[in-house]
Amino acid sequence: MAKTILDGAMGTMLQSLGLGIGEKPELFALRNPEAVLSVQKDYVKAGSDVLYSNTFGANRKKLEGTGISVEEAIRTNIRIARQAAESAERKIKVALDVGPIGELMEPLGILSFDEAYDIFRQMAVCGEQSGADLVVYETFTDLQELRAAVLAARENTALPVWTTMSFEENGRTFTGTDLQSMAMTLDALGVDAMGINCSLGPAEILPLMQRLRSYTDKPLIAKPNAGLPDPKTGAYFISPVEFSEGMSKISDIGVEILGGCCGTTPAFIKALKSTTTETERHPETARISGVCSAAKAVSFDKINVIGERINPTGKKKLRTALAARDMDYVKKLAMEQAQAGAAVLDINVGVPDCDEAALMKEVVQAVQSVVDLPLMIDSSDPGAIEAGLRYFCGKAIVNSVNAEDAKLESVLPIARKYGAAVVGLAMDKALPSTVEERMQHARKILKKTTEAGIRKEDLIIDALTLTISAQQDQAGNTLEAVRRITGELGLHATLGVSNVAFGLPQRNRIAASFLTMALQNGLDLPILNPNDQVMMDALATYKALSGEDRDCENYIERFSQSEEEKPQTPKSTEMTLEEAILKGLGNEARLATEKLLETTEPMEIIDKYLIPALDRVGDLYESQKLFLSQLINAANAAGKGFDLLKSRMKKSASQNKGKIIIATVEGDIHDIGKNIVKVVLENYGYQVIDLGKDVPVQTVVKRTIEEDAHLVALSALMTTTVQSMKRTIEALKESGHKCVTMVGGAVLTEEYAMAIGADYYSKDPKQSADIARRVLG
Amino acid sequence: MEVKLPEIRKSEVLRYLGYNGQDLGSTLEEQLQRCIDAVASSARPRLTYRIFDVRNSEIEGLSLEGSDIRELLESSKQAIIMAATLGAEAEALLRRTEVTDISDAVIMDSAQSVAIESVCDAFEAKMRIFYREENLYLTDRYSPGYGDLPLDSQKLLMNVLQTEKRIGLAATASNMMVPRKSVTCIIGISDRAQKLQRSGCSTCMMAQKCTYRKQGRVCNGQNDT
Repeated sequence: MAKTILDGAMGTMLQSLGLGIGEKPELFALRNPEAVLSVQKDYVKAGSDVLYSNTFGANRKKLEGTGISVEEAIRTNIRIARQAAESAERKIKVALDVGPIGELMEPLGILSFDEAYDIFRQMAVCGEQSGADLVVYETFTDLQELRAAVLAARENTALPVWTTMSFEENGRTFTGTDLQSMAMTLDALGVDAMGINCSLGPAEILPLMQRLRSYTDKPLIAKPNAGLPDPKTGAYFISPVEFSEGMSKISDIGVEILGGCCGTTPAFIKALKSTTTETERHPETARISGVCSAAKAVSFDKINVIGERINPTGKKKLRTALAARDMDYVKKLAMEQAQAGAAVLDINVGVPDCDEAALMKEVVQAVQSVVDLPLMIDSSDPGAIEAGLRYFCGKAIVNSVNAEDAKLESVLPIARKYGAAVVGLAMDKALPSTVEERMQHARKILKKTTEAGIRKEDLIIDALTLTISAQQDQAGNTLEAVRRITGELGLHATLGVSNVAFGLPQRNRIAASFLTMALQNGLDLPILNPNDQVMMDALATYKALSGEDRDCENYIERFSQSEEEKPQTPKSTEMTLEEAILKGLGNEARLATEKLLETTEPMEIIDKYLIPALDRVGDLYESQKLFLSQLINAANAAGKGFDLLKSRMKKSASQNKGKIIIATVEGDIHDIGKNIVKVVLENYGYQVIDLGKDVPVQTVVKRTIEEDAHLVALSALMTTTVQSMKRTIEALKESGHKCVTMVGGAVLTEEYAMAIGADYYSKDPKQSADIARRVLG
Repeated sequence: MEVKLPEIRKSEVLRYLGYNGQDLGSTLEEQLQRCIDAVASSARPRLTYRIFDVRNSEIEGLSLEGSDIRELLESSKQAIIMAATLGAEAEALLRRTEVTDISDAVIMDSAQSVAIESVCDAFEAKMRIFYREENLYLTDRYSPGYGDLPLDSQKLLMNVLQTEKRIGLAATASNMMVPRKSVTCIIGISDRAQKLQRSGCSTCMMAQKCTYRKQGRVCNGQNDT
């Protein structure tokens, strides 16, 4: 097929025409339109079929303070590119060129997805209005930022969307995205072409392009640098001939769109044009079926466990945590399941009286900040499904639709838009009882998803597990349906495995056997609790028998360590609670508390043992007999005792000593100090509501009022962010809500704290507990 | 480019934690080592630099505010501008650990500070040896925020080095570097031997927030100059 030739570098060319060090090329064009025009005309003469407009950094963040609007910069530069394009007889396209915003997104930085989206929306809309033929996003390293950009163009313009990311030689971007995850995610979002730019030279990019070719059948783009730069001068060395030789190898593997990035000139493009010939499209390119996060692809060619624990149905603790928006608890559940071997995590946030879409967004963002597993968005609310798919970075699974028309019509378009895989329940309004009923529903769902543009390999059928304590004959029907769904229909199968044993003693014995039977019938995406040893043992055993576990390697690793060899945690201790806390030994603190409980009431233990021990730790820290790590370990150890006491206290008695709101202020992302204070305060018996880091002023005010809290603890580490602390204190005062503020953080002093209007300055965690006691008792 | 992470010294990590000779005990010793190992195996330090000409104590094409930097470059003909980061991987480790164990997280945070500092030390030492052979001498490392060189100049240095593209390093509007464990600095190259001044608090970015100074002490037993 015919190749498309792009242009080469702009920045380095403009430098030779007078662009100063650190000067913005987009603005240089306003002063020197002729310079930009001449560079682009040279690229046209050299053979470029597409010109990238000089708008890489024309976003409102980068133009702030320059006096030039996004619209002006984009309009002018598109006009120049158009003028250059029209200097030739042949049809040359103008691409609106857009680079990363320049500030990193959450969770690494503080730029939110919605703000990034809006910045890209403004650029794309303006580019289309100015007459661009397409939009190209290049040099991205954060897949989530790129997703925001792609959605902004697709939802607000009719422009075709091309994307290229920048990779290191190991095939990952700076934020950890690998080639396969990029390909799956962008395929799912429906970009028109994708590839790699900048990063490296043609020789280093070739193996990466080869891999990318095997992950997608979309047209591919390669726009490498002119080799690797000399670190001292930043100059590039390889010649146009060497460059074009490297590029023709890339062209030969079936890459259709070719150009140059940093260090390349019209001479490079001319050489590229002259050596690039048409190639046959490689027919073996096959899409890989599966899902992914930003940094991990999961192929559906083996058994993958879907972790079921982030689902509040029947789980009181999670329900409470979700209602209180305690994301740390959710993050822990996610990390534990990842550790235990889950490949995908189910996310269900259905708690009564909450905005499910908002909560889904928050939970998805929290979970993906700590684990790199693909997610399964589990909801019956289309709004919550869309929120989950929008904010999850990667390709997700939607759980679920069933064979009801209304259900299919409301959910499939959303799944299609984000390119998600779909779980179809083999039922309609009523639960099926026969195998044939299940098959009919599965066939209907397959037909409807195909019509909606969802690929067959992205459909997963749930043949429905019913409990044998009520309907014993259904287990066999479910198993037979799984066999036919995977065999006859060639679809993937999932089951909520443990439902089979509902109402029976030792559920996991039944469930584990059922799992083995279902796997044998073709089940490849079992939904289960990966922390359940019995179930995971059954799975490991099955994989050894089926041969998926080559040479039984994992089986041997899992089971060769005998019980006796496993490290034993002591079951009793001679230490007193105070000794255990002072030494920072959690297990011993728990055991000592247990011993005390034989003779003493929980509340008395807190008042007579736990808090005095913590006070002693505080004094020792103050007199520098203990240092920071010892203080925290002691607080953690006390926490172990405290947790045990809380569980033993009657509801009325477990009333805590008062609520404290804690937050790292807006603009600041340092939250370790805040977290230390949180742990200490919690262990003194206070209920601490942690709003996290970079918390907007209004959020602090809103939550303080909502929670009716009367003590607010604020943290800031930088001189620059103490100003947000001041604004937060002012806003709290203006709200009229009666509350006291205490502040802490490295740059603060007593004087400084008073100057910004704080009620208390807390120089260390110990003092924050003293203040809390003074304020709340 | 990716660079090797030098060994993270336990004594340095303890210094960052405000350690003052207390008895550590075996549990804490083990915890320290475990945390240091986790930091060492997760960090992927990257570094980029360029060499610029200096004329009349000013780096060509770069207008930096303040008299301290001019003083530093007084006898320099060239200057190295360098940026280094421990990378997004280091941030991810902290993000996870903060949820599971704040005590580990605090130690890892300190270990990462030591790690990025040692990456810079190793680079500086290598350059010092390289230039010594040409009878040239390096000044101290000087970073935005030291003396009267405004923190705002950080963006200028990041811009000329294209740190976002080269090593994945950006800054927020409030001049916070992301990833946080990162450094930007200037080193002058002179034909005259330099008086090393590094040990003083006046050239330390931590001077305003140093726990030692708050306690009326200085780190490393050196005098406040």
